Amino acid sequence: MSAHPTDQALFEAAQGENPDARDHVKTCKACVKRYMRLAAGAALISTAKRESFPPVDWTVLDARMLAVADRAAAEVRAGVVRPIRRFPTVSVTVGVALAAAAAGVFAFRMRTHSSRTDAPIARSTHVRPPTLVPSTPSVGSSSGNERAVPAVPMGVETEAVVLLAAAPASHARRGATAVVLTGATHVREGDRVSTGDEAGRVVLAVHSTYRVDVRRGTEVIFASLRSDRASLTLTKGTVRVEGPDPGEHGPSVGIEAAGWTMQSKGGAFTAAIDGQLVRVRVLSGKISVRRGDGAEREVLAGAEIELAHDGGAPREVSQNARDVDALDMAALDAGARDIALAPARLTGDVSFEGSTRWAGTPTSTRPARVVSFRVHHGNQTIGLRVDPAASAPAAWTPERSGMPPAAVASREPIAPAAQTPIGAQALTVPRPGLSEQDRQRIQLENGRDVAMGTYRFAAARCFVSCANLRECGSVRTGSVGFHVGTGGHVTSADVRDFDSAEVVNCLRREALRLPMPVQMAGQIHVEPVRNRNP
Amino acid sequence: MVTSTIAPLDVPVRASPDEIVPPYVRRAMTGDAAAFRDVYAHHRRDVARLANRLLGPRGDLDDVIQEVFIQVFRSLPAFRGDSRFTTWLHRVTVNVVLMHLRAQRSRPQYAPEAPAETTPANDTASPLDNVARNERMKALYRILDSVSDKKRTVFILHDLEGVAAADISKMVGAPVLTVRTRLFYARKEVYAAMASEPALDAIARELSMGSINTECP
Repeated sequence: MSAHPTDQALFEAAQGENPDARDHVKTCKACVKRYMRLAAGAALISTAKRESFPPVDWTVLDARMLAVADRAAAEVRAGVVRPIRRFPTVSVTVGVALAAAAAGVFAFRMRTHSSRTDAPIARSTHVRPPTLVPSTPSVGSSSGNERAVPAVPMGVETEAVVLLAAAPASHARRGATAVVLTGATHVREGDRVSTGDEAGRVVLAVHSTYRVDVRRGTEVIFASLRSDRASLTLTKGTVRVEGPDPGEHGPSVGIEAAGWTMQSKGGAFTAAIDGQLVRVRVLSGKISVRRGDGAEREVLAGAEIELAHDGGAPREVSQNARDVDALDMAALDAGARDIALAPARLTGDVSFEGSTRWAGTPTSTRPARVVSFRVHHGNQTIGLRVDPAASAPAAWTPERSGMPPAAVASREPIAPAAQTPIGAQALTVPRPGLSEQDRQRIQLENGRDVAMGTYRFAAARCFVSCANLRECGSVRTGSVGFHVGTGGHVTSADVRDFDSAEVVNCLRREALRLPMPVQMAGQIHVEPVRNRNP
Repeated sequence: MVTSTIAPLDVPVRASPDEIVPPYVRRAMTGDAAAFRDVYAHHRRDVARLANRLLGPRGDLDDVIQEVFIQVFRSLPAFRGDSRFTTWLHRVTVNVVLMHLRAQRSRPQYAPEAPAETTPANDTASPLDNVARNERMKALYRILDSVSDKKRTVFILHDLEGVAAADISKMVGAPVLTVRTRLFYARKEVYAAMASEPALDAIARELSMGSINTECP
């Protein structure tokens, strides 16, 4: 019997084009199944060619887009919309590469763009390989379409406005002793903002269009705060920088950490010092990453990279960058008045506008609208509704999980934590037929199941990226031990039975991001993990 | 042979300036509000068709169309007229769709998103036929989604939309040779995925394609 035809040949046969393959199928049982499927596939493609696009509600879309068109036209007339900065041409890039080679910089590969058209590159479509190109002097531009960028910030000194503060957080002027940071604190050039190792958070407005989210365990120095650009030095912890959309002109914000500079070019990114690495996640838009010697690259949305303290080449670890601790920044407004919050008489995890839980005690905010905080501890939750228009300060009120109806209706603040030990007092009313112990167990298991579901989702991506690198074909199952700290944060993770360093690092990284039920604080939960990737 | 409904991309040797950059585009570049509206009105269906081809039955076509035109409006002053306006527009569309797909993948999805209902080619088709057709389209795009974005884009544009390789090269910003290479590997991977896709067995039965003697000699 002759060799079996290829899939391509069978596909052609299904379209009546390859008589040899068709003859083969007529006499070979082994090829029939493949042929049938490929014929079905060919039929699907044929059907798809004839399909028209699904109904679009043009009435709604037209109204929206015509309004956008009018606004865009007005912006063009006003000169707000300008040509978008372009990547270097091939010739310029090659020239830069030759210069780099002459300087002995062989470690980094060239970034080239094989074609140059005038299609906008305002939003990312792909992640480029982690290479660096030496930066060109930023004193001007060879392209007529590019705006000249001054080498030195020329703007006047400005201030960062505290939009949200959660204790513990401190602020120190240059050379002065740290004091408690409040909503009224004016952060100026040279100031230092830090949060507690286990809790605390500060969100600041820089340049009115940028938001800087200082997470727990972080210290950041506002090295430069000018009206045209700001530079922050991250000495430990994690910050998130969120700016306007890419392509919009205006001031920019950069983060310096361990000899690297991450400059926002629109969108959002996080930078975190993680041991001997700086971990950067580009969540939207793009950033440029520059090393101390001037070599730089652009990193586009979706990429997560690791930057070594010793200045080695950036290493891309993921194309699915996420920020699980993101806050709703749109709810905060630098122009709003600062509102000092009543002390929360319950300690635990905080959520703001329903966002991910985080540790800290909210002390002040500048809300753009009516916003809500919640503090969660076990099955107890208290909430605070902050109305920027209200004259009277808001009070924390119990919100859910079986509070006696009378207490909820009265909207009275619950008793102080010091007088009412959490879990010791009957703040909850068990459902009929379900003991308190059962109810807590169910809540615990539900919370754990959700967390593990989230983790399995993340782990699957680890295995996919590992499979793409052909590193993890052998080991199918393993386990991850989650050490849960106070507040439900995973403090460490033991990954077992996987021999690929890529997978182990990825599984550990994802585990450390995972919020676990606070009831599991101090416990170790071991979860089997299965590699379903073939 | 399928004829593409997407406007040709190559600039003809004797193309008039108005063919390359229509007058309403020139006016829009100067901030003429009516011209901006014309850009949208003239090209919305073209963009919708191309975006739908690349997206498949995902149910977010409206968002993508909107995003494409927002990008176009923002970037119109940067358009230099080196290529046809439609070439530029299609490239923006491809970029926006790819970005959309990437963003979609980076978001955790705890439940399948509601798929879009495809318009029946024949409006007199029964609801059952429409359901079957939608299921088939979903099956096809599941297979196409198994291929990388670059190869998937080239495969869809060439084998489904009937766009020539030279035009695709302008739309994706890659040399023609690269486009052909991507197409070669895309076909190979798509056919391999089809050959190992059990869901196609049911479709094969529905389409009554089993009239082959299965006896080995």
